[in-house]
Formats: sequence, C-alpha cells, structure tokens
Amino acid sequence: MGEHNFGFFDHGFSRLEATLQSRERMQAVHSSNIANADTPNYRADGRTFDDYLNARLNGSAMPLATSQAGHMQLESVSRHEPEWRSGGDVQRADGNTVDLQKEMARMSENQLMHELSLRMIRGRINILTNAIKEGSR
Amino acid sequence: MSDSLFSSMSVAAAGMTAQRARMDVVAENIANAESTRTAEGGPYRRRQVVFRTIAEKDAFPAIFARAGQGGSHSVQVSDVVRDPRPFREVYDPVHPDADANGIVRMPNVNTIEEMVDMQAAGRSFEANVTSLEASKRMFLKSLEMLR
Repeated sequence: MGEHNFGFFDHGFSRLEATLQSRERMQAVHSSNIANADTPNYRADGRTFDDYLNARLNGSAMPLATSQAGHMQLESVSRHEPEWRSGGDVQRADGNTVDLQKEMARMSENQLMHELSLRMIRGRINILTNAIKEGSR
Repeated sequence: MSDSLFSSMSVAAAGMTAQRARMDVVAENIANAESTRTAEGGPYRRRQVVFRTIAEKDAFPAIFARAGQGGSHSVQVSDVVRDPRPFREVYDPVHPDADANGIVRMPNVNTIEEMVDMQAAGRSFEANVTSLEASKRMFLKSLEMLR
C-alpha cells in the first residue's frame, strides 16, 4: 500500500503498516533465537526492528551516483531482506551466543510496541468510522 | 503479512519438540542409571541429544513456504549420541555381573548431571512456550482490529 500518498491512507498509515510487519518479523527472529538457545555453535540472529523497517521503507531508495564502471546500484541490495548478522559476543562453552534473558526482554518490548502500533492504526480507523457515522445523521 | 507470525509459532513448536526429546533422553538415562545389562551387551551407556539449526522452510515446506532470503531458523534433534566416557567401577562381589576381582561396571550416568540437564530442558521448554504465546497474542490482537 505504499503507493497511496493522498487522503486518509497516506504516508503515515503505510508507515504504521510497515511498523506492524516489521514487529511481526522481529517476533520470528526472537522465536528462532529462543528455540536455538541450546543448539551448539548457533550464532544468535541479531537483526533488529530498525533493519526490517528500513528495508521496508527504503524499498525505493534514491539511485546512487556512479562515477566508475564497477560501481553498483543500491537498488539491487536495498530491496532484499535485512542481512542475517550475528548478535551478542558472549561466548558460552558450546559456542552458542544466545542470551535467553535478553531475548525474552526484547520479545516483551517487541510485543508492547506491536500493541502500540495496533492502537495507533485503530485510532486512525476510528476517525474514519466516526466521520462516516456522523455524516449519516 | 502474518507469514512471519505463523513461522515463529512453528519455530517455537519445533523448539518445544526438541526440548521434549531431550527430556525423554534424560528420563531414559536416569531410569537406566543402574542397568548393567543391555541388548548390545555390557552396561547401559549414557545417551545425549544433539540439536541442530535448520532453515524453517525445511521443516514445513508445504504450509509455510517463504519468499525471500533470511527466513527463521528452526531447531531439530539431529542425533542421539552415546557418551564415550568410561563406565563407573563399583566393588560389589555379590553382584551377578561382577568380574573375577569383584568389580561391577556400572553405567556412566551421573544422576546429578541428569537433574541439571532436566532443569535446563524444562526452562528452555518454558521459554519456547512463552514465545509461542507471544506470537499468538500478537496474532489475536491483529484479529481484533477487524471487529
């Protein structure tokens, strides 16, 4: 829906939608880390909410200036999912870098922020509903 | 949109399955801590699960087909291995399995170790339950928007 730039479903609304989707992606990241908390040599998935949101919002990034033949355009990169990267350096004896407590804390935070985004969307929809209802009186 | 929530729920479920398998093996070890005779001969050898990270799409290919790279990482019990540590040797001449010197070879199971492993498996299982509930709650909250 990112194409709508007018009226009710404007930039702000699509940004909220991107936020929601990114929060859901983050939930998947936390689930993976928690499920693999006992897997030897598992490197914790360190992708953050920012990564996902940026990837979603900057899908149509500005073209990069190229001055030499070997320079690449950003477009081919930015449309992709955020790169997997390792989070946390605390090495346990089994080579696993998941910090279970931190994962749980971040997961709760992620949930609260998801709820917040939902309420903001709900608020916007309520505005529209009110306008429709009051108009019929 | 809810693809990632479904995938996180299946990952949490896979984590619970793996921890349950670990718990089963711990129970087996504790139950056989004194078994001196096994089908393959000799005392019982302690068994241990090995977890392995797998791409989530391998676990549920049909239902949760994912687009794009960098999906979730699920978990799986890849192997149950035997502990190579030496057997415990106990002096008990009246035991039917004692050798000429009265030494009985007992399983290499350390009950304390198994207890710790059991606790850890329980905690990890609970962590997965929590993450499953979190995913479910997020999904339900999204559904509430439709009301």
